[in-house]
Amino acid sequence: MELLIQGLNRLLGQALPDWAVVLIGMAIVITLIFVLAPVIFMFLTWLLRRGIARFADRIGPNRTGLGPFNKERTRQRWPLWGLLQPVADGVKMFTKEDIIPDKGDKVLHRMAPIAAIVPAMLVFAVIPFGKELSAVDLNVGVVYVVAVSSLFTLVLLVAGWSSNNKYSLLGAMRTAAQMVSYEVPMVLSLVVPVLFARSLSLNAIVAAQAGLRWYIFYFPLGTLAFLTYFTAALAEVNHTPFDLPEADSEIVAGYITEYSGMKFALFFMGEFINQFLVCALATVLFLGGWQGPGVGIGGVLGYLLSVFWFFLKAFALYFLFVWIRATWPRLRVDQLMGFAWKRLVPITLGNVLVSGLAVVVWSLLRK
Amino acid sequence: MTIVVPRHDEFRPFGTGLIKGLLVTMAHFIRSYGKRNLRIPGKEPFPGGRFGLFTVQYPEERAPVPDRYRGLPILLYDDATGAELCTACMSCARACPVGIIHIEQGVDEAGKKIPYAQHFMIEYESCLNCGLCAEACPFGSIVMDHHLETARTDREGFRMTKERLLRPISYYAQIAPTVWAEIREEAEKRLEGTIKRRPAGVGVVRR
Repeated sequence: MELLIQGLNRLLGQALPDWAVVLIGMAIVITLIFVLAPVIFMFLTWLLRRGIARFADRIGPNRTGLGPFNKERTRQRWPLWGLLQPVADGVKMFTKEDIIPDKGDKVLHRMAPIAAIVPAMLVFAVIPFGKELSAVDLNVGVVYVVAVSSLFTLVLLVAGWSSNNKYSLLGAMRTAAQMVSYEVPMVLSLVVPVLFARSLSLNAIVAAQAGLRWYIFYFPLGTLAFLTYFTAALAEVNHTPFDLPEADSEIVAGYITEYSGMKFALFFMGEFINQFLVCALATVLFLGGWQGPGVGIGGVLGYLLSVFWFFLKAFALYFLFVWIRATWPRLRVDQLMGFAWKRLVPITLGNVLVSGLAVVVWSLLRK
Repeated sequence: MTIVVPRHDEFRPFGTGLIKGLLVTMAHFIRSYGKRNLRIPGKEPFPGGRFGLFTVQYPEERAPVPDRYRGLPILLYDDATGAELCTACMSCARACPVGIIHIEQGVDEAGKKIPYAQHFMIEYESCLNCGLCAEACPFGSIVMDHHLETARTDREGFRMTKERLLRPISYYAQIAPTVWAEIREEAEKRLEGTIKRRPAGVGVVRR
């Protein structure tokens, strides 16, 4: 952000007053985020469908995409592995009928899907996508991320309540209970890298992990924190094996039962972006963020490499999500809550305690 | 007498099953990029076992159909002489559970019935693909085709007259060699007799 405003100042500083330059800079960044989020969503769905297909000995969508549209589309030349399938899905979603339940709360029913993507978009503001490439360098970044991303729970409750449908409400209640429970171990595991880096700013945490001093390699404390974070994060974004809110056999489609068309897609957009953000946060806090070979190079190449490493790590983590989704079965409700409160919370609490002690001891030893 | 049931309850470290499952799916993921696992006629159904892509890219590729696959019924004629095998014996019309086979027997100048179907019509849209007509036919004339894509938008197109039903024997012998080998001897013997009982030039396909 500062970088962008400096550049704009050099370009337009003579012609425009300072406040206009800042406004233009903000507009550019906001637009970028609003474009980036849906694009990431698109390719996450694509990756999920293609990945799951391969895990199940299938091919997955391969008919849409840029490519040779010769009449007798030969076997060897599929157009770009169906990369444009998400676009086709989007067009389909727009043409679907939009149904609002007669006895539901119509205003809330309309508002919920829009509100579903807002917290996801807000988190994008502080994620460092590359060297000096975060929209806002907030000095309480971690707190901000945790606070904003838990808004999603509220949206789900609104969606479930406004649908006036027992399946929706039950699904929403389950989700709310699950998210509130797993929020605790998730935040507790986030404390460990914060203790190590002695900063709540995401940029500072990444900077502290330069040169392979990633917190996942801080055995056993950092590694354990990563594992607990990852487990809690799976539950936080309702992913397999914790996808009870979407257990079709029990509660149909959960809180999205009464949604159709683009509203349905917006919920999925919120969920997918949340999944990506969980991966991105794990990358930033445990896997060294944008750190990687070649980011020290000056000029554009260094910046591009840092962005490349960040997305490589984040998408690798997302692939792990896909892998888990293709493999593990779903937990029961009682197992879910028991696992959060009886296992994860004690483990993470102990981890925070030991990490805090370790940091204090380490700093005393170095003096 | 006591029955001992093995329970496999020896100690396993927590999470072993989860990791094992992950490795199984990863093996499928990796080997899906290797050799494809498709049905090959005459060999075991899936030569690659449980691994490899099973998908057949339908419009461009087709999975082989078994010899006894029941598509829609067709009529056969002899390649060499062009003589139709059908003698209008009505066995198939009587066997058909939905009554969609309509036959009109031909007559000679004297008004005497001859072993030849003047008109032969099957309403394809109501066919059950049960194959009872082919089983009932003593002349091996009506057999089940392997053609699958019969959808169309007009109803009239489903009224299959004799001209559209007739196929040469060589066609059927090629798509379903085992079935044809079973009925061949009987069919050829009876065809000879049929040709003798017909006036010359009747029941011959013009090509």
